[in-house]
Amino acid sequence: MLRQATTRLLSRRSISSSAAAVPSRHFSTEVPATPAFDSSFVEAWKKVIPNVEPPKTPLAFMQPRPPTPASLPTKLTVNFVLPYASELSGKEVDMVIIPATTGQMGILPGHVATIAELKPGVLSVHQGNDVTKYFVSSGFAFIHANSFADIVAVEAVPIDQIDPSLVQKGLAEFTQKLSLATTDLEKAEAQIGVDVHSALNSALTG
Amino acid sequence: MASNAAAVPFWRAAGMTYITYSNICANLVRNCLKEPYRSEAISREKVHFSVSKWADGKPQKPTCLEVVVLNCDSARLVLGTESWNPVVFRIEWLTESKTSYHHNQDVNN
Repeated sequence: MLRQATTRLLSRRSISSSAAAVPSRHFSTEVPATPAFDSSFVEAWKKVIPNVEPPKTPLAFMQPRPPTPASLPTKLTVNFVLPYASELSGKEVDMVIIPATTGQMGILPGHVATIAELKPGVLSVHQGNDVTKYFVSSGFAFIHANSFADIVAVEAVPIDQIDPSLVQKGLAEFTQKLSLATTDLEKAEAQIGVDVHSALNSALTG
Repeated sequence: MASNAAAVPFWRAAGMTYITYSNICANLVRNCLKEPYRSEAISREKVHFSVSKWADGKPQKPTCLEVVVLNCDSARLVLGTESWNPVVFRIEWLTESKTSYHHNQDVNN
C-alpha cells in the first residue's frame, strides 16, 4: 500500500516539481549548494501520510554540491593526481594550462565548469611568477563551477626527466613503423607512437 | 537531430578502447625517461602473476611466475601459443612479496 502511495506521489509531482524545483541559472548571481532532500517530495508525502517519516532519497546520502560563489574567486584550487601518487593536492594557483584534445586550454579562477580529455602534452601550473611544467601522457581534467580543478593523469613527469635521445630514437622508430604498417591496429599503434614522441619533442624544445 | 556519424578518434576507429590507448601512451612516455626515473617507473608498473593449469578438476603446480609489464598484449605473448582458455588456467595476481616464495622461472618481458 505504501509502495503505491509513492508511485502516485511521484507521478503527480514529477511534472510540477521538475519545472519548479530547478531554478533558472542564467540570471542568478549566486548558486546555492544543492539541497540534501527534495522539499517538494517531503511536503507531498506529509500531506498523504502524515504519520510515517518520509524515506531518505539518494540526495540525502550524497555530499551536496558546494555553492558557486557569486563573485569570482581569486585563486584556482588544483588537485592533480596520478594512479600512484598525488602531485598537487588542494594547491591554490593563479592559472593552469592543460593540453586538452581541443588544444592548449588556460584555466583561470571562475572558469566555466568543463570536462576536458587530455592529449599527450605539457601541463603548466602558474603561481605568481613560478611555473611548474609536467608532461602528461593522457587523462582528464574536471573544472568545477566553484574554481576547483581535478586533473587526473596516467603518467606525468617533470620535463627535465625526459631523455631527448630516447625521444628522437622513438620518433624515428615509430615513423618507420607507420610507413610499414598494414592492419588498422598496427597503423593506430604507430600513429599513437608518432603523436606521443612528437609531443615529447615539442615539450623538450618549446 | 545530429547525424549518426560522430567524429571518432583514429584509435577507436581501429578498434582500440580508451584504456588501451591511454596505457600505450603512458608506456611510451615511461620508456623515454632518463635513467634512474625510467627504471623506477618501469618496476612500479610491473604486474606479478602466478599461472597454474588445471587437469582433471585439480590445479597443477603453478608453472611460471611471470613478471610482466602489461604492454599492449604482452600477457598474450607471454602465455605463448598454448590455448588461452580461461577454463583450464588459474591466474593469481600477486603482490610483490609472494614472488619470493616461488623458485620458478622468471619471465621478463
